[in-house]
Amino acid sequence: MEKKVALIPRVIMKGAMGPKEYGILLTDQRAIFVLENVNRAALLGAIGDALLSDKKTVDYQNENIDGLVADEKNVVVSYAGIQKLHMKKGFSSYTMSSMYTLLIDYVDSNSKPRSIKAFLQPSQEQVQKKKAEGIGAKAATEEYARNAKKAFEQALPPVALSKGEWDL
Amino acid sequence: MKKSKIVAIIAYVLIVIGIFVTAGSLFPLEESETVTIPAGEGYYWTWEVSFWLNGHLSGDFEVIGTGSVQVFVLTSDQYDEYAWDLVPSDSLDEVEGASGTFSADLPDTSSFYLAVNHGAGYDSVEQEVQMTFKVTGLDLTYLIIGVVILVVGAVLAVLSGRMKAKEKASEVAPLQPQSQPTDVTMFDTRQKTQ
Repeated sequence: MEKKVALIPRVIMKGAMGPKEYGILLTDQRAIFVLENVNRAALLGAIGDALLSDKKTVDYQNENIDGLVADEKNVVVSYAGIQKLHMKKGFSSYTMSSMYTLLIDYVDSNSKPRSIKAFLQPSQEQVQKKKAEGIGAKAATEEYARNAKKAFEQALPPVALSKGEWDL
Repeated sequence: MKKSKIVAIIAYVLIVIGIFVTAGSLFPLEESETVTIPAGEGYYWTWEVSFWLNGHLSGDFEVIGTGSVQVFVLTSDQYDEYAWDLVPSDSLDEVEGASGTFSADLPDTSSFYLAVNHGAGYDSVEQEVQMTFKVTGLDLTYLIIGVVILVVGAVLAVLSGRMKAKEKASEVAPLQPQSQPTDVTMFDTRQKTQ
């Protein structure tokens, strides 16, 4: 039976209409990028942010894995299909800031080569929590990326893990 | 409805109005009016056109009935002279007749005047004149009002974004501490096989 191993609650991916927010549920067989928030703010700026962003709440602890996999809005990466996994720190021209980026090259269930680029960005709430503990936003983001790395190391089988590069 | 949404809606409406008003500055001003010059010396009708960039005033006139009229396009200084005795020393354009056309470039953004008075020998007659004119160029009044509305809308949009962030922050911590994990979470580390 497929087991849930870890959750990376927030990554940002580039979408045609603006940034999309995903949570990554890592099971022992695959990574499920669960679409949580389509931020249409890119079109209308702050107005869009106030009027249109629509955050979905997912109960990852109790949510059925097959249900998340069946949702077409979510992206499923089977560990068996991973060709390359690269986590690195670098400057993002998309957000115009220094970001931790997750790059995955993989083949999907139709044997089609695909790639994913996601920015590991903790939520505002998480940054605020860390600030309350005396940890700055930059350090909180770094810690978040390192924890995400640990989560992948925990979830991925050795074969997939051997294809990983970690430049944090 | 949350305050941030109300502010965002106001911002959206202002931005839309601002875009329309700003775009409106490019549209020509068109007027068509029938005026009556009363019988007697010294009567005239005038229209003021001001604050146009790269402006051009053109149009036509026609006396309804008999007689002729004089039509002038004047600068502000020329108008001061004209208003005194209806005889300006100079003008941007001057036409006399029962009908005709007039046209003049407006060289700067100051005030210009279109004026019509009795033609020579018709002071004692009440005259009805159909005046039609158009001003093209950039209407700076509309442009400035439009930009001001846009700026106010943009400021409100930014403000609404900040208000939303504050509302979100005040909602999250005390009300739903367990609602959703915000940090990386391990469900069951015992599943790992090396």
